[in-house]
Amino acid sequence: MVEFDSPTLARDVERLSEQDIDRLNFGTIRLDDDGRVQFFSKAEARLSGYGDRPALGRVFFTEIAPCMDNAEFLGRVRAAQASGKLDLEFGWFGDFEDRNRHLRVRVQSASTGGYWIFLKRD
Amino acid sequence: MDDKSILGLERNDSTNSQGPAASGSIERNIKSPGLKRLYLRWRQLLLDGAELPGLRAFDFDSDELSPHGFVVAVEGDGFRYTFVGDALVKRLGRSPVGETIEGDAHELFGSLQATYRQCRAQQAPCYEFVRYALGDERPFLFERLIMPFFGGGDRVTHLAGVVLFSDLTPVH
Repeated sequence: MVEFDSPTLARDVERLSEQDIDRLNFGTIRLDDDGRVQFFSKAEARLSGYGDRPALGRVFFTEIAPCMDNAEFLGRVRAAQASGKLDLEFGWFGDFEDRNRHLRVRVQSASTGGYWIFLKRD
Repeated sequence: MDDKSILGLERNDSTNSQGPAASGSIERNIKSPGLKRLYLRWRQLLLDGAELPGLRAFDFDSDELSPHGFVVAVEGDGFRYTFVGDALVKRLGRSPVGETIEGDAHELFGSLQATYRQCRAQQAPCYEFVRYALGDERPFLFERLIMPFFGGGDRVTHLAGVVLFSDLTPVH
């Protein structure tokens, strides 16, 4: 069982089949260095409401999640990429009803280039 | 429906002397014990008080985290700093007390404008964190807790927050 809090989350996920990744209780996305989607788990499609719209090959930060195309998120990812070490975690939580506002995001390098984004809704 | 019901934070009858019932998202995810204590104090004030939490009753200035804290007054669609703790002033290199945040104004500690608006609109605390490392530097943790305060009725008049930066032990 892969745990979202694992320090080696990316490596843990890379040992799974795509079918097993789809069954995780959090969303999983892999991007190439240019931010194009290489993998978009069925769990993320379902949990995010993105559904079965085509995702592969699309530029994640402009075509799928423009809300993350900002200095606070993408800016930090770019800075970490430039430093050669990509291991970030973000969290947003509040005492209100909209559960979509409660989110943890982890970003780690992929062993084959690019990086993984993992999203866990509370 | 009273004000606390509007907030979705009405008293839980199962609450006992150990404090308020687990409130969910923030309590489960908040990292620093000090921030959790502050958040629970706000929540206790909400549960115990006859009115929604007011800044004076919270006595933010005397809290041990107040050097890392700030208070903004809600003024129309904007916010004005009325207090910024010494630790934050030192990090900023100046005191923003008296400055207003409006429109797309410069942000001091991240996306403040969006967070302030959310906290005011939802009338509920907000908590954010970023765990971050660059190159071989020690990873650090940025945390921000913002709580709404009321001036009678259900109108948010102030937001008070704490910003913490903590060094973390690297994971190898």
